[in-house]
Amino acid sequence: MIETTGLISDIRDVCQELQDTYAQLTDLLIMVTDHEGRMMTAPSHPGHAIIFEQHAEEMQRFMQQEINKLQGIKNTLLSDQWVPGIRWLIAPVSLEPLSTSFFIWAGILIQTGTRQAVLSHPNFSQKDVEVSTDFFEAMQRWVHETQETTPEQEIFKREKITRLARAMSLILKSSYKEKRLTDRLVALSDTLVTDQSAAHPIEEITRIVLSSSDLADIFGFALRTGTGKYTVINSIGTAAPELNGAVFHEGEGFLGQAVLSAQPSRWTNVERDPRSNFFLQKGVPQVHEVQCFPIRYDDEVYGLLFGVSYKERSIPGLHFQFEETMISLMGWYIANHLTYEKMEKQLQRFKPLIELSRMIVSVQDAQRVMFMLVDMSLNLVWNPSASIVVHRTSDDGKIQMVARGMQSPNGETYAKDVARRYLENAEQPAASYYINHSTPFEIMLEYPIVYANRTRAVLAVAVSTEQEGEECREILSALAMMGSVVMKSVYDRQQYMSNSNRFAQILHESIREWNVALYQLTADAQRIVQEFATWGGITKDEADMIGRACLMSYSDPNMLRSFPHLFQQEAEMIEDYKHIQDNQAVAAGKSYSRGGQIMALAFAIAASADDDMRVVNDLPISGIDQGLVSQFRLFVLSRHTLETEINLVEEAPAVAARSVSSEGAEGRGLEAIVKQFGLSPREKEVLELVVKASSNKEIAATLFISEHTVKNHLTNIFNKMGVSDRAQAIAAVFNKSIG
Amino acid sequence: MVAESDVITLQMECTLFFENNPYAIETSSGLSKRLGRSQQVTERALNRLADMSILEKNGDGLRAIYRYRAPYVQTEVDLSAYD
Repeated sequence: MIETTGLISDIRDVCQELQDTYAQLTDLLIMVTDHEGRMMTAPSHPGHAIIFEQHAEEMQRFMQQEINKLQGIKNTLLSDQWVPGIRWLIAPVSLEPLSTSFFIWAGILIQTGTRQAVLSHPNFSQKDVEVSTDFFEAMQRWVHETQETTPEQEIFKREKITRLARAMSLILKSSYKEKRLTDRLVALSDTLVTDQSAAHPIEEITRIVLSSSDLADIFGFALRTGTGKYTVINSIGTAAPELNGAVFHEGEGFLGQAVLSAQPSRWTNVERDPRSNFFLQKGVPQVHEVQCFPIRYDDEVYGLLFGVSYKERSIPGLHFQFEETMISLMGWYIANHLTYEKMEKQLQRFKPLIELSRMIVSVQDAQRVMFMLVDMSLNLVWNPSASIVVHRTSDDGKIQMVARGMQSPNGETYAKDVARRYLENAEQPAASYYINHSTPFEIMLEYPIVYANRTRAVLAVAVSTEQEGEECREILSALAMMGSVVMKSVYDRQQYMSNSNRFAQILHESIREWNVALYQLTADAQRIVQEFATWGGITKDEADMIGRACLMSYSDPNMLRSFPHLFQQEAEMIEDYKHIQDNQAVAAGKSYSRGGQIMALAFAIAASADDDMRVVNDLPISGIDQGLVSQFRLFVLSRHTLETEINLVEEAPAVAARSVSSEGAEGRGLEAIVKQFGLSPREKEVLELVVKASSNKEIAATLFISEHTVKNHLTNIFNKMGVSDRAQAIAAVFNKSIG
Repeated sequence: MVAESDVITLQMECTLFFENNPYAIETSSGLSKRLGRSQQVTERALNRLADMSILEKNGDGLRAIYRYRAPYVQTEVDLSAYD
């Protein structure tokens, strides 16, 4: 059987043709086998080739035994292993540098005058047990028919077979080179179409490309894992496993010098070079040559592909250049892949960050912003472990810190260090971030948060490696920037409130001299608005603004509008309040501002502060939302209750112990309602929150139940109480509390 | 297959939810209904937050309940005491 896998068919045909020609020329039977004795072509001989085709397996056993004895032969030799005097020419067909080699077998030669001796030799007539009778007899016939060869003829035949071996060597080398290149190109092609979503594509790709390369005995793939620090993450070759995890630094040894130069490098005859110790210590038996291919992208070195050879490798020039080019391309491919991976990781976080910016823009509390920065930074880094925000809350040296993943006292010590470095001078930093290695928390990325022309806070996030720090620094920078914007908004708002309140107070004080009654009335109206907020009618922020409008209500709205960035809304409220007061009809399709409406109600109460209960029925309703009027009536009722109780206390100190706040009064009313209508404990809790003006959503959050459940409770409460809405329910509670 | 960016977005939404409702105690099922996301992805996001110590997790699987772990807050750290 002829081996068909080792040779490309065209090459096989050429070799066969050549072999047949030389068989005719030398009148020898010629066979070509591989190093295991398998025939690579059909035996060539006009008469006896058929014997070997029919008995190929027996021949293979015989030839392999012979080849085992011929290891390392460089020239054509004569062998007579079967019967002394019956000789074969055996010529090696070298394919160096490949480990594969072929052998040409040419025979048989019987020297002149030795035929009789050969025929009478015992081996000629005694069949070996492993040889079939057919084959043995055919061989005997062949010997009988073979002519004796003179020494001159033997020399001629030997030369010709040697030339045949050389010719075949050239043909096969060329063919193998081509086949090798084809195989490598196929491997490269396969690699480049490997599914990008595979678990470890880079390692797999590297393995495929490097394992089929002739360039070295061992290959390695190192990635940058810190500034100037590289770690071997993958190695290929029998002695390579111990290289995995090995660390080297820029400028250190062969590998370190290669990454520093950022160019392909090659060192040969390095057996005695001390830089080889890096490999010897990792179990590599011997180092003759080291080749390095830095993985670069845009002047940045991401890693290194390297190969180590134990001995000199005679790779033909073109083949060598191809391997070099291919591995360089591989490095470029890996660099692209790593860049893509890095960008992908960042993109995965930028999208959520944009979503986050929409959600946090309305936060108006500095501590809430700090909580978000700490928690969100942990969401954004690859391996979250610790995060801290240090914020200078005042100019008297006090700082506030919010931290996660940091234990006291290390957290506080670090916070003080950060505050000293960034917040003491509070100058604007030169860079948007800093890397700090001298901390108890691995590596810290520190982002100064600047607003109002000073560094007022610092976001610091722990990262496990510098590499990770470099990869996520941009995304954290974006978060810190977002923090700056939101903190500035909080700061501006505080400043605005502070300035507005100060100016409003000054304007208010200015009327005390010429109109004490007006001064007192406006102060009372402001107080009522604040009480309305405490009661739950409006938020504190709304109350602050409406309160300021009350204090400045005598002022010309246009004059107030002339204050840059101040009092714009207050001016509108005052204008609306005056229109309501003048009983001006509101334009169709329009309504007065809620602030103006509340001012009108607050002034109505302030003007009759000596008899609140009467004013309940006399509250202005023209131009004012009916719901707001109802709400204010309830507020006045509760306020009256409170004042009544306080009066009792003032008039009779002995009963002070029984005095209760408005909440106490509400509580009494609530208890009475619960008792009267048989409300369950949960219904009582819900009603209590309804009375405190909580919305269904707020009640759900407070009681840890869904809004749907709140609605169910309310329906049951209304049914039991016989009321149709929450306003009636609240009124019932207050009626009970004052009744 | 849910995109990684969607999981991170959900992580952030969950974080904000618990920051805004610091006393809330929720299961992955409950929170997924509130946020209109699948229970499976919500559970994945919540478990990541628990790994980061942003949330505290009690129990396993569908019965696991999550609550917010407030960060360590120190107000009025006196800078003058720094050595």
